[in-house]
Amino acid sequence: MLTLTDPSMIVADPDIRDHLIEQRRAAGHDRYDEVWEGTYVIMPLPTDEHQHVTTALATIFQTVLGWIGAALVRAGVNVSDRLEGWKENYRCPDVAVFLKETRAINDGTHWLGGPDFGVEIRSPDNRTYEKLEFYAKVLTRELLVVGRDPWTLELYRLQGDGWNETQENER
Amino acid sequence: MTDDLTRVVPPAGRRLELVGRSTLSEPAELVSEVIPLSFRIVSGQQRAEILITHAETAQQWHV
Repeated sequence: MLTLTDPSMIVADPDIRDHLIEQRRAAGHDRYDEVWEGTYVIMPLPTDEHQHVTTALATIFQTVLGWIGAALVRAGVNVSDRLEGWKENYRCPDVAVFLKETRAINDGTHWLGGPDFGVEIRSPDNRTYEKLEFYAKVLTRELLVVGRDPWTLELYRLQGDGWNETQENER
Repeated sequence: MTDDLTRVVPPAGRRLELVGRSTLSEPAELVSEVIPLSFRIVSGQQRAEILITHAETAQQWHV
């Protein structure tokens, strides 16, 4: 979770904040931005190498799983912990694999629940490790974290089993 | 999609735990239990690479 003790920037003026966000959306620069519990997080644009790794991994997953109908593979997707108001809390894994039997729900604009297998490619300042708690919350079963300076791979696995749904009728 | 499933509420204590790390100095093979692939860091011509291996066919890819 972002804290005020370690902010990169705080835009306290709501007019400037809204204008800044609107500028980013108009220019298409918001593709990789996220919102963490209501806090807008401007993400660094991925480098060419980052995009190469993303594309290559997604291609391999699509080859192994996607074309045979065993999974849906996404190179970038919105993942949230809620249906309504999802834009208040979502992350965007670089690659997401939703198996055919996934418990996550595709709502078109985003997925409610995490991927069965996700990939996060680290970039300077993109705060990958701060997202682990969220990915666990949305029951991402495994997460591969790719580091590039130096090159490292870390595999995280959701501890425990099962899925605990709560049915909340917000109407 | 059901109308009354609107939020993910995980059981208490659910967390993602590190189960393996692969580096050039310690190129451990990380085996997924979710998809039929394993991952390992290996040396490459211009930089380190990610070696991906299919668990059933042994087909490999270098990224």
